[in-house]
Amino acid sequence: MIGGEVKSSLGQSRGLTLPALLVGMALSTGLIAALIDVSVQLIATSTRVAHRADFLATVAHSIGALAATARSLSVEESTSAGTDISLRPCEPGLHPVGVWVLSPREINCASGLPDAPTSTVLLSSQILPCEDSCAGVFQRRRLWYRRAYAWRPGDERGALMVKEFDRQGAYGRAEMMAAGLVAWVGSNIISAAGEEGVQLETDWRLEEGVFWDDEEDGLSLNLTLFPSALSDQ
Amino acid sequence: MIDVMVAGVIALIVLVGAYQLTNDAVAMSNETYNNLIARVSLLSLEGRWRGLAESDRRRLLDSTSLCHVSMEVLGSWCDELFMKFAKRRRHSEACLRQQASGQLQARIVWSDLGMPPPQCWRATEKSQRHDWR
Repeated sequence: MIGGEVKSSLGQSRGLTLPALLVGMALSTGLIAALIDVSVQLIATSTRVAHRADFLATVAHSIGALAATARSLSVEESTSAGTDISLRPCEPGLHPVGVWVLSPREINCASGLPDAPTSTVLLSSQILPCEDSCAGVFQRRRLWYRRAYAWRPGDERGALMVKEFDRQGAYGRAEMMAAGLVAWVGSNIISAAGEEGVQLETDWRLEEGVFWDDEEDGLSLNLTLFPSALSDQ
Repeated sequence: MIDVMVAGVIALIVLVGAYQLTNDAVAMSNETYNNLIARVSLLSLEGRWRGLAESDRRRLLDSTSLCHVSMEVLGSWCDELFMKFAKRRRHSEACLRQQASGQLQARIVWSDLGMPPPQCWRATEKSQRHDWR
């Protein structure tokens, strides 16, 4: 630069003054800074949206699995209200078919389940067609319950868990259906037609900052399930 | 200088593209939310239906919109549905009909605020459907 002008290697003036160059550089720097800032915000928003979509899809899958448990029963197969039934899922043999809300204390093999007085478990028992493992049909019995933590003890996120009984009545490791279940209250209900069903009130929450401002309270889903034969679209 | 400006324009184009992608992701996530709310509401509607007396069931089937004339029959179900969709700036509508076979068919439709109200049985609406007997 000579005399405030930028010259090429051949010495030809390009007509750019030093102040113009400085202003241009300042504008470029400002533009780059703004672009970086916006990019960071877009990446953060995309991450939050992806987490949220994952969370919602997982909750939807879990609710769908719960509903499918009731849906796969026919009304004729379900145990009618008032019938004296014995819910001993840990014992071998055939069991009543349906869905029930129980206290862990009502299950004779509930060790390993949350046993706080307020906690409830959902017992589902359904008849399903066999695939490769057996011929005809088999009975699938599962316990659905809320665990106080999701990933590690003390994280206070809660999770919807399910345990499946084998034919001898024992169950193995629990499977986590969805993390973020902060409240789970269930009750048994009876329809006008005398069918037994369950009512579940569930509250879900993802990590801080993942929901939008209007979802600070998380997501409350109330579900009423009755055994029936259904189809959806 | 020109190189910097060209780079800036390219960066802006990339940024607009990224912004559009993020907007699409947000919209998709919102639709996942709407579908979940509608799905759970329909499952619970079936439960409430089973708890109704025959006269109340007839009232629901005779009404064109499930909630406009049947608020007292379904209790808080309609309020919860409308509130959940309104929080996400959506109109919602719920309808129920009975097929000739006796099968019941419920549908929840929704549309953005500011758009025409959703029509229950129009095929183009965003919706969830649930059938039972």
